[in-house]
Amino acid sequence: MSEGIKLSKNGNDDSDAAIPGFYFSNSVKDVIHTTMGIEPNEIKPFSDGYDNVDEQITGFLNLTGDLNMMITLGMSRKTAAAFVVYMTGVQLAEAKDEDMCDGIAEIINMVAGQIKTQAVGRGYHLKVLTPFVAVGEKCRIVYKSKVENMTKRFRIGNLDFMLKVFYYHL
Amino acid sequence: MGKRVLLVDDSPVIHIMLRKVLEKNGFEVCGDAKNGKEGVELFKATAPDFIFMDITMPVMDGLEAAKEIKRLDGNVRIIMLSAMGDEEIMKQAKEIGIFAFIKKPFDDYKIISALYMTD
Repeated sequence: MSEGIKLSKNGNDDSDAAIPGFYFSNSVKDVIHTTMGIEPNEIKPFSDGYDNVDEQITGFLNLTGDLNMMITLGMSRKTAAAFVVYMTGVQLAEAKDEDMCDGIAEIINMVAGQIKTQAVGRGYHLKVLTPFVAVGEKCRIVYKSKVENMTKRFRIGNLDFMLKVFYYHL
Repeated sequence: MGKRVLLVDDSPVIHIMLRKVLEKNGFEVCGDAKNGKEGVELFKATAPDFIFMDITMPVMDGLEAAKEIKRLDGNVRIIMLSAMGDEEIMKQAKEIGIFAFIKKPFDDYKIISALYMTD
């Protein structure tokens, strides 16, 4: 079923896209809005999708089935701490490392759940696997040339974060 | 005193979020369990009015824990929470006797209306 089906790279509702780009954007916005009560703005990624956000904490999760993809949500520690504050109401100084990782894992899991629901609505079966969180300076994801990817950048105030989607055929 | 609620979820952040909503609305959180097995034990120890139960958890998942708790007390009101809306899981939850199923992300309204719906 996934043969020849491409992800939309430009965020438009491409009629041949398995999951249009704006579905991913809307999933992120909805999850952030519901859990934190704030509305992120989607902004244009820089030409190089890598070095424009310091990804010190990155949640990643694989979806498999009729489509196979990995989605990642990367951000600085400062942004991750702000997420925890917005989600829980704790003071910034009380936002612990484990809470940041747990919060990002929950967010990426919810985003994946939304994407899955939308994919099911388009006739695809998807299974969401376990979320992981990578922590470290200048964390990069290196992938094979066959993998298609899409980057979406979001901003809340002066805090930026990136959603990346890596789509591949098994 | 407000109705007593037991929280069963492996995410500490979700516990804080739920506690904040519940306490703001006059409910008392009587226990925090991080997996299904702890949830069953805390259910026996605290006899809550309601349980919020995640599905995917280590040691014992939410469906298994809910089944065990329902075996101990068929009247307890369990509300399942999950980021996935799998029909198969919802079907299993219904068979166990779960009254409400909340898809994450949740806001205050979803949580409180589920409690009133099951009360």
